[in-house]
Amino acid sequence: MLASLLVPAVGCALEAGLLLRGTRARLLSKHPFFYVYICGSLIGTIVAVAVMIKSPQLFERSYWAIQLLTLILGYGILLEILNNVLGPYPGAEKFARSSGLAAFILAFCFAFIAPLFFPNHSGRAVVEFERNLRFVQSVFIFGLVAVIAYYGIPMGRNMKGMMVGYGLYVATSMVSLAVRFYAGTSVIQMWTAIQPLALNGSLLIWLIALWSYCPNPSPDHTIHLEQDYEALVSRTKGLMGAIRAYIGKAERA
Amino acid sequence: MISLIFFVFVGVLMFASVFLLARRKPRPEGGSTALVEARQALKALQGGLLPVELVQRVFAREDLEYVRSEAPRVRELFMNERKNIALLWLAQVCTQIRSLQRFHGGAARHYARLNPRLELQLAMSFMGLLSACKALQVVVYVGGPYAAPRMVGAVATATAQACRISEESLAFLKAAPMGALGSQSASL
Repeated sequence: MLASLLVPAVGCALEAGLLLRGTRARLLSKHPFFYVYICGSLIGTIVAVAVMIKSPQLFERSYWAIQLLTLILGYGILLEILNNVLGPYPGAEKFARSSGLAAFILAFCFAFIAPLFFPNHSGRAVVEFERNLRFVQSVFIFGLVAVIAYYGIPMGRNMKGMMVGYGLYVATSMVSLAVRFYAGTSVIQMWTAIQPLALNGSLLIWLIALWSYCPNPSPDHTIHLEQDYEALVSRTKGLMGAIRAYIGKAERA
Repeated sequence: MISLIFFVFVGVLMFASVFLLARRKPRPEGGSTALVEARQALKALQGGLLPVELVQRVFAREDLEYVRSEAPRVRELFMNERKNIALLWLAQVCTQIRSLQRFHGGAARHYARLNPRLELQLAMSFMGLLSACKALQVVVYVGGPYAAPRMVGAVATATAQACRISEESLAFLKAAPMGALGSQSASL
Protein backbone atom coordinates (compact mmCIF):
# COMPACT_ATOMS: atom_id res chain seq x y z
CA MET A 1 0.00 0.00 0.00
CA LEU A 2 2.76 2.42 0.94
CA ALA A 3 4.65 1.66 -2.27
CA SER A 4 1.56 2.42 -4.39
CA LEU A 5 1.13 5.76 -2.56
CA LEU A 6 4.73 6.85 -3.11
CA VAL A 7 4.35 7.94 -6.75
CA PRO A 8 1.18 10.03 -6.20
CA ALA A 9 2.72 11.49 -3.04
CA VAL A 10 5.77 12.69 -4.97
CA GLY A 11 3.43 14.05 -7.66
CA CYS A 12 1.42 16.00 -5.08
CA ALA A 13 4.61 17.44 -3.59
CA LEU A 14 5.80 18.58 -7.01
CA GLU A 15 2.42 20.11 -7.84
CA ALA A 16 2.31 21.93 -4.52
CA GLY A 17 5.86 23.15 -5.15
CA LEU A 18 4.83 24.42 -8.59
CA LEU A 19 1.86 26.33 -7.18
CA LEU A 20 3.96 27.79 -4.36
CA ARG A 21 6.73 28.83 -6.69
CA GLY A 22 4.19 30.23 -9.16
CA THR A 23 2.72 32.39 -6.39
CA ARG A 24 6.11 33.70 -5.26
CA ALA A 25 7.37 34.38 -8.80
CA ARG A 26 3.99 35.95 -9.77
CA LEU A 27 3.49 33.49 -12.60
CA LEU A 28 -0.14 32.59 -11.78
CA SER A 29 -1.54 35.59 -13.61
CA LYS A 30 0.86 35.14 -16.54
CA HIS A 31 -0.04 31.48 -17.21
CA PRO A 32 -3.52 31.03 -15.67
CA PHE A 33 -4.58 28.01 -17.74
CA PHE A 34 -1.43 26.13 -16.85
CA TYR A 35 -1.88 26.67 -13.13
CA VAL A 36 -5.56 25.72 -13.36
CA TYR A 37 -4.36 22.41 -14.78
CA ILE A 38 -1.81 21.96 -11.98
CA CYS A 39 -4.43 22.81 -9.37
CA GLY A 40 -6.93 20.40 -10.94
CA SER A 41 -4.31 17.66 -11.11
CA LEU A 42 -3.36 18.17 -7.45
CA ILE A 43 -6.97 18.03 -6.27
CA GLY A 44 -7.63 15.03 -8.50
CA THR A 45 -4.65 13.14 -7.10
CA ILE A 46 -5.68 13.85 -3.50
CA VAL A 47 -9.26 12.71 -4.21
CA ALA A 48 -8.02 9.56 -6.01
CA VAL A 49 -5.73 8.61 -3.09
CA ALA A 50 -8.51 9.25 -0.56
CA VAL A 51 -10.92 7.03 -2.53
CA MET A 52 -8.25 4.34 -2.86
CA ILE A 53 -7.77 4.24 0.91
CA LYS A 54 -11.43 4.55 1.91
CA SER A 55 -13.17 2.53 -0.80
CA PRO A 56 -10.95 0.53 -3.16
CA GLN A 57 -13.98 -0.77 -5.10
CA LEU A 58 -14.81 2.72 -6.32
CA PHE A 59 -11.22 3.56 -7.11
CA GLU A 60 -11.11 2.43 -10.74
CA ARG A 61 -14.27 4.36 -11.72
CA SER A 62 -13.15 7.54 -9.96
CA TYR A 63 -9.61 7.21 -11.40
CA TRP A 64 -10.86 7.32 -14.99
CA ALA A 65 -13.24 10.22 -14.28
CA ILE A 66 -10.38 12.24 -12.72
CA GLN A 67 -8.06 11.25 -15.55
CA LEU A 68 -10.48 12.51 -18.20
CA LEU A 69 -11.09 15.74 -16.31
CA THR A 70 -7.39 16.52 -16.09
CA LEU A 71 -7.01 15.56 -19.74
CA ILE A 72 -9.58 18.19 -20.70
CA LEU A 73 -7.86 20.75 -18.44
CA GLY A 74 -4.61 19.87 -20.24
CA TYR A 75 -5.90 21.56 -23.38
CA GLY A 76 -5.42 24.77 -21.41
CA ILE A 77 -1.67 24.21 -21.59
CA LEU A 78 -1.89 24.09 -25.38
CA LEU A 79 -3.90 27.30 -25.30
CA GLU A 80 -1.20 28.92 -23.14
CA ILE A 81 1.45 27.96 -25.66
CA LEU A 82 -0.66 29.22 -28.55
CA ASN A 83 -1.31 32.58 -26.87
CA ASN A 84 2.14 33.21 -25.42
CA VAL A 85 4.39 31.83 -28.15
CA LEU A 86 2.40 32.52 -31.32
CA GLY A 87 0.40 35.54 -30.11
CA PRO A 88 3.03 38.13 -31.20
CA TYR A 89 3.17 36.54 -34.68
CA PRO A 90 -0.30 36.89 -36.26
CA GLY A 91 0.66 35.07 -39.46
CA ALA A 92 2.06 32.03 -37.69
CA GLU A 93 -0.85 32.03 -35.23
CA LYS A 94 -3.36 32.11 -38.08
CA PHE A 95 -1.55 29.23 -39.79
CA ALA A 96 -1.42 27.24 -36.53
CA ARG A 97 -5.14 27.77 -35.83
CA SER A 98 -6.15 26.75 -39.38
CA SER A 99 -3.94 23.68 -39.56
CA GLY A 100 -4.75 22.84 -35.92
CA LEU A 101 -8.47 22.90 -36.70
CA ALA A 102 -7.95 20.68 -39.76
CA ALA A 103 -5.79 18.26 -37.77
CA PHE A 104 -8.33 18.24 -34.92
CA ILE A 105 -11.18 17.34 -37.28
CA LEU A 106 -9.14 14.52 -38.85
CA ALA A 107 -8.00 13.19 -35.51
CA PHE A 108 -11.53 13.49 -34.07
CA CYS A 109 -12.92 11.46 -36.97
CA PHE A 110 -10.25 8.81 -36.46
CA ALA A 111 -10.60 8.70 -32.70
CA PHE A 112 -14.35 8.90 -32.21
CA ILE A 113 -16.30 8.35 -35.41
CA ALA A 114 -14.37 5.34 -36.74
CA PRO A 115 -15.09 3.27 -33.56
CA LEU A 116 -18.82 3.87 -34.17
CA PHE A 117 -18.46 1.85 -37.35
CA PHE A 118 -15.93 -0.59 -35.89
CA PRO A 119 -17.04 -0.86 -32.25
CA ASN A 120 -14.93 -2.52 -29.57
CA HIS A 121 -16.90 -4.51 -27.01
CA SER A 122 -13.93 -5.87 -25.12
CA GLY A 123 -14.68 -3.85 -21.94
CA ARG A 124 -11.52 -1.82 -22.31
CA ALA A 125 -13.41 1.07 -23.83
CA VAL A 126 -12.21 3.61 -21.26
CA VAL A 127 -8.55 2.81 -21.99
CA GLU A 128 -9.25 3.16 -25.71
CA PHE A 129 -11.13 6.42 -25.15
CA GLU A 130 -8.30 8.03 -23.20
CA ARG A 131 -5.75 6.72 -25.71
CA ASN A 132 -7.68 8.36 -28.54
CA LEU A 133 -7.94 11.65 -26.66
CA ARG A 134 -4.19 11.59 -26.06
CA PHE A 135 -3.70 10.96 -29.76
CA VAL A 136 -5.70 14.10 -30.58
CA GLN A 137 -3.53 16.06 -28.13
CA SER A 138 -0.40 14.59 -29.74
CA VAL A 139 -1.55 15.83 -33.14
CA PHE A 140 -2.07 19.32 -31.72
CA ILE A 141 1.32 19.38 -30.03
CA PHE A 142 3.09 18.04 -33.10
CA GLY A 143 1.39 20.72 -35.23
CA LEU A 144 2.47 23.45 -32.80
CA VAL A 145 6.07 22.19 -32.79
CA ALA A 146 6.07 22.10 -36.60
CA VAL A 147 4.78 25.69 -36.88
CA ILE A 148 7.26 26.96 -34.27
CA ALA A 149 10.16 25.21 -36.01
CA TYR A 150 9.13 26.22 -39.55
CA TYR A 151 8.66 29.91 -38.73
CA GLY A 152 11.72 30.00 -36.47
CA ILE A 153 9.77 31.43 -33.55
CA PRO A 154 11.94 31.91 -30.47
CA MET A 155 10.77 30.56 -27.12
CA GLY A 156 11.78 31.50 -23.59
CA ARG A 157 12.59 28.98 -20.89
CA ASN A 158 9.07 28.99 -19.43
CA MET A 159 7.28 28.15 -22.67
CA LYS A 160 9.90 25.71 -23.85
CA GLY A 161 9.71 23.81 -20.56
CA MET A 162 5.91 23.82 -20.66
CA MET A 163 5.88 22.39 -24.15
CA VAL A 164 8.61 19.80 -23.57
CA GLY A 165 7.06 18.62 -20.31
CA TYR A 166 3.54 18.28 -21.65
CA GLY A 167 4.70 16.75 -24.92
CA LEU A 168 6.66 14.05 -23.08
CA TYR A 169 3.73 13.30 -20.78
CA VAL A 170 1.19 13.06 -23.60
CA ALA A 171 3.46 10.86 -25.74
CA THR A 172 4.26 8.51 -22.86
CA SER A 173 0.60 8.29 -21.83
CA MET A 174 -0.52 7.51 -25.35
CA VAL A 175 2.05 4.74 -25.80
CA SER A 176 1.39 3.16 -22.39
CA LEU A 177 -2.38 3.25 -22.97
CA ALA A 178 -1.91 1.70 -26.43
CA VAL A 179 0.13 -1.13 -24.86
CA ARG A 180 -2.42 -1.62 -22.08
CA PHE A 181 -5.27 -1.72 -24.59
CA TYR A 182 -3.43 -4.23 -26.78
CA ALA A 183 -2.22 -6.51 -23.99
CA GLY A 184 -5.40 -6.35 -21.90
CA THR A 185 -5.30 -8.05 -18.49
CA SER A 186 -2.02 -9.75 -19.22
CA VAL A 187 -0.14 -6.45 -19.17
CA ILE A 188 2.59 -6.34 -16.59
CA GLN A 189 2.33 -3.95 -13.67
CA MET A 190 5.12 -1.75 -15.01
CA TRP A 191 2.96 -0.39 -17.82
CA THR A 192 0.24 0.77 -15.43
CA ALA A 193 2.82 2.73 -13.42
CA ILE A 194 4.39 4.46 -16.42
CA GLN A 195 1.72 7.14 -16.78
CA PRO A 196 1.97 8.46 -13.19
CA LEU A 197 5.78 8.31 -13.38
CA ALA A 198 5.71 10.26 -16.65
CA LEU A 199 3.51 12.90 -14.99
CA ASN A 200 6.04 13.23 -12.15
CA GLY A 201 8.83 13.64 -14.71
CA SER A 202 6.87 16.40 -16.46
CA LEU A 203 6.14 18.11 -13.15
CA LEU A 204 9.86 18.16 -12.39
CA ILE A 205 10.60 19.67 -15.82
CA TRP A 206 7.94 22.33 -15.21
CA LEU A 207 9.25 23.12 -11.74
CA ILE A 208 12.72 23.77 -13.15
CA ALA A 209 11.54 25.66 -16.25
CA LEU A 210 9.00 27.79 -14.36
CA TRP A 211 11.14 28.55 -11.33
CA SER A 212 11.21 32.19 -12.34
CA TYR A 213 9.63 34.33 -15.03
CA CYS A 214 11.47 34.14 -18.34
CA PRO A 215 9.52 35.82 -21.15
CA ASN A 216 9.76 34.92 -24.82
CA PRO A 217 12.03 37.17 -26.91
CA SER A 218 9.88 39.93 -28.36
CA PRO A 219 9.72 40.25 -32.14
CA ASP A 220 11.56 43.13 -33.74
CA HIS A 221 9.05 45.45 -35.45
CA THR A 222 11.36 48.47 -35.86
CA ILE A 223 12.64 47.52 -39.31
CA HIS A 224 10.48 48.85 -42.16
CA LEU A 225 10.24 45.45 -43.72
CA GLU A 226 7.69 46.28 -46.41
CA GLN A 227 9.94 48.66 -48.35
CA ASP A 228 12.91 46.32 -48.52
CA TYR A 229 10.62 43.35 -48.99
CA GLU A 230 9.08 44.79 -52.15
CA ALA A 231 12.58 44.99 -53.62
CA LEU A 232 13.10 41.39 -52.59
CA VAL A 233 9.82 40.34 -54.21
CA SER A 234 10.78 41.99 -57.50
CA ARG A 235 14.11 40.15 -57.43
CA THR A 236 12.30 36.88 -56.68
CA LYS A 237 10.10 37.46 -59.71
CA GLY A 238 13.23 37.98 -61.81
CA LEU A 239 14.63 34.74 -60.45
CA MET A 240 11.41 32.91 -61.24
CA GLY A 241 11.61 34.10 -64.83
CA ALA A 242 15.16 32.81 -65.10
CA ILE A 243 14.21 29.46 -63.53
CA ARG A 244 11.21 29.03 -65.85
CA ALA A 245 13.45 29.73 -68.85
CA TYR A 246 15.96 27.18 -67.53
CA ILE A 247 13.24 24.55 -67.14
CA GLY A 248 12.08 25.23 -70.68
CA LYS A 249 15.60 24.75 -72.07
CA ALA A 250 16.16 21.59 -70.04
CA GLU A 251 12.88 20.08 -71.21
CA ARG A 252 13.68 20.87 -74.85
CA ALA A 253 17.15 19.32 -74.42
CA MET B 1 -1.17 -5.05 -33.54
CA ILE B 2 -1.25 -2.50 -36.35
CA SER B 3 -2.88 0.09 -34.09
CA LEU B 4 -0.23 -0.56 -31.41
CA ILE B 5 2.56 -0.04 -33.96
CA PHE B 6 0.83 3.13 -35.19
CA PHE B 7 0.52 4.66 -31.73
CA VAL B 8 4.07 3.70 -30.80
CA PHE B 9 5.28 5.33 -34.03
CA VAL B 10 3.34 8.52 -33.25
CA GLY B 11 4.75 8.47 -29.71
CA VAL B 12 8.32 8.12 -30.98
CA LEU B 13 7.70 10.98 -33.43
CA MET B 14 6.46 13.12 -30.55
CA PHE B 15 9.51 12.30 -28.42
CA ALA B 16 11.84 13.19 -31.29
CA SER B 17 10.09 16.48 -32.09
CA VAL B 18 9.98 17.57 -28.45
CA PHE B 19 13.63 16.60 -28.00
CA LEU B 20 14.64 18.62 -31.07
CA LEU B 21 12.59 21.56 -29.82
CA ALA B 22 14.39 21.43 -26.47
CA ARG B 23 17.79 21.43 -28.16
CA ARG B 24 16.94 24.11 -30.72
CA LYS B 25 19.26 27.09 -30.62
CA PRO B 26 17.37 30.36 -30.97
CA ARG B 27 18.09 32.33 -34.12
CA PRO B 28 18.77 36.04 -33.52
CA GLU B 29 15.78 38.27 -34.16
CA GLY B 30 16.46 41.03 -36.64
CA GLY B 31 14.95 41.94 -40.02
CA SER B 32 18.14 43.47 -41.50
CA THR B 33 20.27 40.34 -41.02
CA ALA B 34 17.57 38.15 -42.51
CA LEU B 35 17.16 40.56 -45.45
CA VAL B 36 20.87 40.52 -46.22
CA GLU B 37 20.96 36.72 -46.05
CA ALA B 38 17.93 36.39 -48.30
CA ARG B 39 19.35 38.81 -50.87
CA GLN B 40 22.58 36.89 -50.89
CA ALA B 41 20.67 33.64 -51.29
CA LEU B 42 18.70 35.01 -54.25
CA LYS B 43 21.84 36.39 -55.84
CA ALA B 44 23.65 33.08 -55.35
CA LEU B 45 20.78 31.06 -56.81
CA GLN B 46 20.05 33.47 -59.65
CA GLY B 47 23.55 34.32 -60.72
CA GLY B 48 25.68 31.48 -59.48
CA LEU B 49 23.98 28.13 -59.04
CA LEU B 50 20.96 27.72 -61.28
CA PRO B 51 22.05 29.05 -64.70
CA VAL B 52 21.70 26.35 -67.35
CA GLU B 53 25.30 26.61 -68.48
CA LEU B 54 26.65 25.87 -65.00
CA VAL B 55 24.36 22.91 -64.34
CA GLN B 56 25.07 21.44 -67.78
CA ARG B 57 28.79 21.97 -67.23
CA VAL B 58 28.78 20.13 -63.91
CA PHE B 59 26.75 17.17 -65.13
CA ALA B 60 27.93 17.03 -68.77
CA ARG B 61 28.45 13.50 -70.00
CA GLU B 62 30.62 14.76 -72.88
CA ASP B 63 33.48 15.31 -70.42
CA LEU B 64 33.20 11.71 -69.23
CA GLU B 65 33.14 10.41 -72.80
CA TYR B 66 36.19 12.51 -73.65
CA VAL B 67 38.16 11.21 -70.66
CA ARG B 68 37.14 7.61 -71.47
CA SER B 69 38.31 7.91 -75.03
CA GLU B 70 41.35 10.15 -74.72
CA ALA B 71 42.71 9.65 -71.20
CA PRO B 72 41.30 6.50 -69.58
CA ARG B 73 44.06 6.42 -66.99
CA VAL B 74 42.76 9.53 -65.26
CA ARG B 75 39.12 8.41 -65.36
CA GLU B 76 38.98 7.59 -61.66
CA LEU B 77 40.55 10.92 -60.68
CA PHE B 78 38.14 12.74 -63.00
CA MET B 79 35.12 10.94 -61.51
CA ASN B 80 36.19 11.77 -57.95
CA GLU B 81 36.79 15.44 -58.72
CA ARG B 82 33.54 15.81 -60.65
CA LYS B 83 31.65 14.07 -57.86
CA ASN B 84 33.09 16.52 -55.34
CA ILE B 85 32.03 19.46 -57.50
CA ALA B 86 28.51 18.03 -57.88
CA LEU B 87 28.21 17.48 -54.12
CA LEU B 88 29.46 21.01 -53.46
CA TRP B 89 26.90 22.41 -55.91
CA LEU B 90 24.09 20.46 -54.24
CA ALA B 91 25.19 21.56 -50.78
CA GLN B 92 25.20 25.20 -51.89
CA VAL B 93 21.75 24.89 -53.47
CA CYS B 94 20.42 23.34 -50.23
CA THR B 95 21.98 26.09 -48.12
CA GLN B 96 20.54 28.89 -50.26
CA ILE B 97 17.08 27.31 -50.39
CA ARG B 98 17.13 26.93 -46.60
CA SER B 99 18.14 30.57 -46.31
CA LEU B 100 15.20 31.63 -48.52
CA GLN B 101 12.82 29.45 -46.56
CA ARG B 102 14.06 30.92 -43.27
CA PHE B 103 13.62 34.43 -44.58
CA HIS B 104 10.13 33.69 -45.87
CA GLY B 105 9.15 32.16 -42.54
CA GLY B 106 10.65 35.06 -40.62
CA ALA B 107 8.67 37.59 -42.68
CA ALA B 108 5.40 35.69 -43.20
CA ARG B 109 4.87 34.96 -39.52
CA HIS B 110 4.14 38.65 -38.86
CA TYR B 111 1.41 39.10 -41.50
CA ALA B 112 -2.16 38.53 -40.37
CA ARG B 113 -3.36 38.33 -43.99
CA LEU B 114 -1.27 35.22 -44.59
CA ASN B 115 -3.03 32.55 -46.65
CA PRO B 116 -2.80 29.22 -44.76
CA ARG B 117 -3.40 27.12 -47.88
CA LEU B 118 -0.58 28.79 -49.79
CA GLU B 119 1.68 28.65 -46.78
CA LEU B 120 1.09 24.92 -46.50
CA GLN B 121 1.81 24.48 -50.20
CA LEU B 122 4.99 26.50 -49.87
CA ALA B 123 6.08 24.57 -46.79
CA MET B 124 5.50 21.26 -48.61
CA SER B 125 7.42 22.58 -51.62
CA PHE B 126 10.37 23.66 -49.52
CA MET B 127 10.41 20.36 -47.62
CA GLY B 128 10.10 18.38 -50.84
CA LEU B 129 12.86 20.38 -52.46
CA LEU B 130 15.24 19.98 -49.55
CA SER B 131 14.45 16.25 -49.35
CA ALA B 132 15.11 15.89 -53.08
CA CYS B 133 18.44 17.72 -52.67
CA LYS B 134 19.44 15.41 -49.84
CA ALA B 135 18.39 12.33 -51.80
CA LEU B 136 20.36 13.55 -54.81
CA GLN B 137 23.39 14.08 -52.58
CA VAL B 138 23.16 10.46 -51.45
CA VAL B 139 22.74 9.22 -55.02
CA VAL B 140 25.70 11.27 -56.28
CA TYR B 141 27.83 10.21 -53.31
CA VAL B 142 27.13 6.53 -53.92
CA GLY B 143 26.73 6.40 -57.70
CA GLY B 144 28.80 9.31 -58.97
CA PRO B 145 27.80 12.57 -60.70
CA TYR B 146 26.14 10.87 -63.68
CA ALA B 147 23.97 8.47 -61.70
CA ALA B 148 20.75 10.46 -61.76
CA PRO B 149 20.44 13.08 -64.52
CA ARG B 150 16.65 13.14 -64.29
CA MET B 151 16.77 13.85 -60.58
CA VAL B 152 18.83 16.95 -61.33
CA GLY B 153 16.02 18.16 -63.59
CA ALA B 154 13.45 17.28 -60.95
CA VAL B 155 15.28 19.35 -58.33
CA ALA B 156 15.30 22.34 -60.69
CA THR B 157 11.56 21.84 -61.40
CA ALA B 158 10.78 21.75 -57.69
CA THR B 159 12.79 24.95 -57.19
CA ALA B 160 10.67 26.69 -59.84
CA GLN B 161 7.48 25.44 -58.18
CA ALA B 162 8.58 26.76 -54.79
CA CYS B 163 9.38 30.15 -56.34
CA ARG B 164 6.00 30.24 -58.14
CA ILE B 165 4.08 29.48 -54.93
CA SER B 166 6.25 31.94 -53.03
CA GLU B 167 5.28 34.64 -55.57
CA GLU B 168 1.59 33.82 -55.03
CA SER B 169 1.98 33.82 -51.28
CA LEU B 170 3.66 37.23 -51.29
CA ALA B 171 1.14 38.84 -53.66
CA PHE B 172 -0.51 40.85 -50.85
CA LEU B 173 2.77 42.68 -50.26
CA LYS B 174 2.62 44.42 -53.65
CA ALA B 175 2.54 48.21 -53.39
CA ALA B 176 -0.67 50.03 -54.41
CA PRO B 177 -0.48 51.40 -57.98
CA MET B 178 0.85 55.00 -57.89
CA GLY B 179 -1.49 56.07 -60.78
CA ALA B 180 -4.62 55.84 -58.60
CA LEU B 181 -3.01 57.89 -55.83
CA GLY B 182 -1.80 60.52 -58.33
CA SER B 183 -5.31 61.06 -59.82
CA GLN B 184 -6.86 61.30 -56.35
CA SER B 185 -4.39 63.98 -55.23
CA ALA B 186 -5.00 65.93 -58.46
CA SER B 187 -8.78 65.96 -57.85
CA LEU B 188 -8.18 67.34 -54.33
